[in-house]
Amino acid sequence: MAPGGTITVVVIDDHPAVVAGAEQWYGTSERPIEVVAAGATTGAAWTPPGDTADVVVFDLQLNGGLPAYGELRRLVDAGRRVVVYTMRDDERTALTCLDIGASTFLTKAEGRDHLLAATVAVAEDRSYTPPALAGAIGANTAPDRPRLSDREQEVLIEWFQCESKRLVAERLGITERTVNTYLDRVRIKYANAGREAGTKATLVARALQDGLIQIDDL
Amino acid sequence: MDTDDPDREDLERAGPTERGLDRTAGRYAVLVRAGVIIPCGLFGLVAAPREHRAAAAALVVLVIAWCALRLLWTERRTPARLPRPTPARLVAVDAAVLLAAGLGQGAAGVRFAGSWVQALTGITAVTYAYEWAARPALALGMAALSYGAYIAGLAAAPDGRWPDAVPLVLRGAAETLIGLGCYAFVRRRARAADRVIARGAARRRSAAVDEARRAGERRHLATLHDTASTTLLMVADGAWDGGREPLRERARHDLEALGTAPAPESGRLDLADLLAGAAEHRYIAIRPDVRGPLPLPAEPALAIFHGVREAVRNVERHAGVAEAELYAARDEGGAVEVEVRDAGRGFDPDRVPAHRRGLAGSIEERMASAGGCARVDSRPGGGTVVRWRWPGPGRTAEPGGGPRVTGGGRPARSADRVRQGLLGGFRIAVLAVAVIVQFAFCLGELYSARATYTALWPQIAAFGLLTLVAAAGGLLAWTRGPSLAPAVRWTCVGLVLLASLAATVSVPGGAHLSPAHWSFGLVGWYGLFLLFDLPPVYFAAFLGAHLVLNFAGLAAGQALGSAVLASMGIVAVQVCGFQLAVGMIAVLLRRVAGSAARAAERDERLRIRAAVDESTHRDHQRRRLALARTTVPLLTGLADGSLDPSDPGVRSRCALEAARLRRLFAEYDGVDDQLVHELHATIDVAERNGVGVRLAVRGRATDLPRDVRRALIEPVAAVIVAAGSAVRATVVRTPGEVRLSAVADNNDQAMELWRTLRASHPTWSHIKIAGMATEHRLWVETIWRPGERSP
Repeated sequence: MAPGGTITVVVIDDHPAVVAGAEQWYGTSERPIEVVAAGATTGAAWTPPGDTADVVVFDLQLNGGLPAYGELRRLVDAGRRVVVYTMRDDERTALTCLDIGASTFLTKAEGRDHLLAATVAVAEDRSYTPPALAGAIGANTAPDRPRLSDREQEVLIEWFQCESKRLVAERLGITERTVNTYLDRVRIKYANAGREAGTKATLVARALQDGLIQIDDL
Repeated sequence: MDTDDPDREDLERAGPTERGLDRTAGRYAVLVRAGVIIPCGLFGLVAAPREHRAAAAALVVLVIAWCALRLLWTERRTPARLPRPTPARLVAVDAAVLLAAGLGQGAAGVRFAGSWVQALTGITAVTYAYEWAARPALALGMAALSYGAYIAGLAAAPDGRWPDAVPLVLRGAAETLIGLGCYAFVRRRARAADRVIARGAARRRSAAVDEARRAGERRHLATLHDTASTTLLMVADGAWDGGREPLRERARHDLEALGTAPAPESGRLDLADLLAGAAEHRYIAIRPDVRGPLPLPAEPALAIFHGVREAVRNVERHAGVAEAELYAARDEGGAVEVEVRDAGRGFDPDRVPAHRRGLAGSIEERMASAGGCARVDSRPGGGTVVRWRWPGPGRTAEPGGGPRVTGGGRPARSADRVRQGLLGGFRIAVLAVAVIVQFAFCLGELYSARATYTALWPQIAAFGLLTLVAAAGGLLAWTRGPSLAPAVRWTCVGLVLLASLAATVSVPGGAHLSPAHWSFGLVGWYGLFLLFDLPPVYFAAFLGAHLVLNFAGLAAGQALGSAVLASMGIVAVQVCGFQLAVGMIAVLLRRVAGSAARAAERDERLRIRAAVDESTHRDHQRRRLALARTTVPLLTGLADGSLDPSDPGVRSRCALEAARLRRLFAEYDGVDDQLVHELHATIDVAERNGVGVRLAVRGRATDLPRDVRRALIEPVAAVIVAAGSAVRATVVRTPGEVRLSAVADNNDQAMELWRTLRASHPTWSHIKIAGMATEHRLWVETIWRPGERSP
């Protein structure tokens, strides 16, 4: 994928309507995004043309069963950038996916804009933290969770609550850019914690490169 | 005792058991005294030398009259011609008679220590300890007076052998002290029993108050649901198409219903009359089959009436048919049965969400709190039947049907406990008397007379046997509780009678019933210890056996004249009569236990009544106040026409109020996550108005106080309900805080509502409300941080 070039996506979902919807939304994107393959199982992501797609959009609950964490891990371990895209709206699932190394976690209720923005960010190895994920991180009480500053915590919760960075910025008296910075920092902290994964390392490297964090912060 | 003044001051300090014990002991002491003194006086008259008969007769008559007077005074109501027995009068009369008997014994021909006057003195001193147990100083003073007068009189009598009287007096004084001690012990048991009763009563009282409050709350919620909530929801939905006038009438009716006292309705109503009113409906044709008259207590009658109206409303709203049947009749058993039946589309009762309260809350709970039962039967496509059943007063609706708490078994249980406590105490007290008498007096008497017995070993054997019984019985009473196993009891009785016989046979002729015959007075105490908890006839038979054994031994040893027999009778009556009297106390204790429990029950009922009345009144005031701020102004506006139900502003106010009420109902559902459950109840109202609400919850459910939940939800609910189209609602719970938030499209109503709500919201310094309005969006957040308490 050339910078600014077309992003290729493989959509793994057992509901044809979801696949169709995603294709339709991607078709309206400013940045060209192309769904090169789709399927009801992860097979579509392992075989051409899906095996070279930039981003895997992955429904965690294939066939409505238990979350397919094993499949997710295999994809992540193969260096794939995965956007978990699910009906499940609970923090346990979100945090587990993050720990396994999913690039981001999105609920289907969050809609078009978040899917597009997440896909673009993930394709560029940048972090993207949609509201549902922000809420999960904000409410995380696990003893080994990364330590967040009060301000980071506040931004996460407000972003989860109102789903508008502009409102958050206005409410906290900061710029939207700063809101993004806080969210990115939190995301990097989580990438640095828990299970090691290539995707996490890439995310951190990109953040350093973008100047979001300094080497001292690590 | 001042029996005309029924315990007015005692009520303040003593519980019912202690009160009952004191009163019983006081009256019984007088009875026992009379029972001993009168026969002893008559024996004394027989034994008096001929030349002193007249004086002796005068003294005996005085004493008998005194006993009679004291007996009359123990009646609960003093006979009209007698002055009331104040303590001062009682003491004055008693002192006068004791002085007259003691000092006058010389004139009556008494020369010996063991006379009828000594019996009178001794029994008065001992019974005084019981009669005035609450005033031991007075009891001891009177005992001292009676012994003093006795010794002084004997000393003053010509040839009076007063030194012989000293050991008798000492023994009597000791018995008085033992009596006081035992009584104090039993009294302590009574006090402990009272404490147990009081603790149980307090527990039951608070349970009864809670139950009454819950029932009141249920009734209140059911009324609210049937009236204000339904009306406001209809206005909010814009579903009101029945014209202005019916709405105004409905609102007026609601106000009336909410203004009525929520206390249990009293009196009786004819259910048939009430149902005639409920059977008229604008859209639903109701075919009534009401077989009146059906007189019922008002509470269940109104519960059925409101329930029927609710059921008919449900037919209108959900059944999709325009007719229903109403049946009401009394069955052969006297139970009233009511039924509303439709052939509409039906529903699955298991799938009605907990916060849709129509059926569960209004019909079933209300009927249950009125003491009957109600059931809703329906299945999809199969129509709906709602049934009410009122089983008649005092009966349960169905196994486990009614929540009524009846008092069955409670007095019996506390009576049992009191009885165990008192009788256990009594057994230990009697054993203590037996042991003290045996070792403090009998041992000395046996030792002094050791040379006079025809053989010493039977005396020692008898003493040993009694000691054995004391040790074994005491040990068992201590370890196994107050009741004795039959085998132990009857073995011990046999041993005691054997000791009685052994001790009697070697007493030399002429020494019977003298101090050398130490066993005579002692054996009865052991008999009492072993037998007091059986019917008194057992102990009487025991004493009879004991007397027969002793008199047989006595009659074998000497010739008996009438004077000798009479003086022996005095000793026998004095000793056995007193023991028998003490035995009767056991019977009374049992009765005290029963009546004390009944008295406690009565006290308790009064206190429960007062506590329930008070809390119900307070709750009522609180609810009126809560409604006066919000619901009542809206209903009043709708009733007098000043609020227009088609005005969007009015509709959204009604929606908000309906949402508030729905949340209130949801408070009582008792689900795991109350906060989210109550929020759902308000979202439900918003969704009926076509608002799309996306709710996301993060963090684990925590228990929050009801007021905190209310304060957190209400501002957010206002925004949700007033929103024009879509709302994002969230709940975030971390250990440090709980946050609710709603972001809605901005519109005038939402802003207006938010402003008024913010102004009227109770000041919760530990609930932070934050809001923000931009051109297009309105965002409200409530935050509770448990660490930050209000100052």
